[in-house]
Amino acid sequence: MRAEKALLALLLAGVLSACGGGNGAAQSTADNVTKAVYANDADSMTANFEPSLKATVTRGEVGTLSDKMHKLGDYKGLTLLSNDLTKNEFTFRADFSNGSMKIVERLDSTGKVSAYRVFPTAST
Amino acid sequence: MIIRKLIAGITLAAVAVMIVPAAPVRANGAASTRNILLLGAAAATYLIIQHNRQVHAREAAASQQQAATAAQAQDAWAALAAEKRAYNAQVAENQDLQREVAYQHSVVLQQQRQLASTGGGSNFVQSAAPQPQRVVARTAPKQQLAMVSYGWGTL
Repeated sequence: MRAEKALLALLLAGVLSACGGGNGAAQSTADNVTKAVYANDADSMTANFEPSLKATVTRGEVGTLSDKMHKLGDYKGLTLLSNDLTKNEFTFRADFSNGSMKIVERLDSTGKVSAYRVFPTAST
Repeated sequence: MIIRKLIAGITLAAVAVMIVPAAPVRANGAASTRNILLLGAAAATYLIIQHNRQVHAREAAASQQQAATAAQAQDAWAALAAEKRAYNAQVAENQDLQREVAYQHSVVLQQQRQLASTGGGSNFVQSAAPQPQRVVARTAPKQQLAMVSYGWGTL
C-alpha cells in the first residue's frame, strides 16, 4: 500500500514536471543567451542557436546589444511574462539593477533558438 | 424739432393775446378773461414741450436699444469669426502633424532599407509595423511611431 502511494506520488511529480518543462527549458535557454549577450560572448550566445540563425549573428551586433544591457546596470534574471505554445514563443522580462527589457524567444521543434529579440521598454 | 414747436407755441400764445381786445377803461372783468387766456396759452405751450420731451425720450430709448442690439450682433459675429479662425488654425496644425508623421514614417523606412543593405540581410534592428496615421490633438501625448527591437530572427 505504501509502495503504491509512493509510486503514485512519483508519477504525479513526473507529470507536473513535464507540464512545466517547456517553460523551464525555454527560460533556461533565454537566460543563458541573455547572460552571453551581457558578457559580449558571441560564441556562447549562439551555442544554442539553430544554424541558419547563427549565420546571421555578427560580433558587432552582440556588442551593440551588450552595451544597451549594460546601460541598465547589473543583470538580475528573467521572469516569464507569457508564452504562445502554438508558435513556441516565450516572452520574458529581463530585470537589471536600473531598469528592464522585454525579451522574446522562439524555439524550433528541436529546442534550438530560432529567434531572440530584445525590446527596450519605454523607460529605457 | 423742439425749437420749432416752441416757436409755434409762443406764436400761438401771442396771437391769443392779440385777439384779446384792448382793455376798456372800465374794469368790467376783461382783465380776468385776458389773464385766463394768457395762462391757457402758457399751459398749452408747457404741455407741448412736455409731449415733445416724452417723444424724444422714447426715441432715445429706442435708439439705445437698437444700438445695444447691433452691438450684441457685432459681438456674436466677432465671436463666430474668432471661432472660425481658431478652427482653421487647428486644421492647419493637424495637417502639419500628419505631414510630420508621414515624414517620420518615410525616415523609418529609409533607415530600415539602409540597415538591410549594410547588414547583408541581417535583421538585427527591427521596427514593428507603424501605427496607422491619426490626427493627434495638441494636448495628446506623443505616440510612438514604431517599437524597435534588437536581436536575431523574426517573430
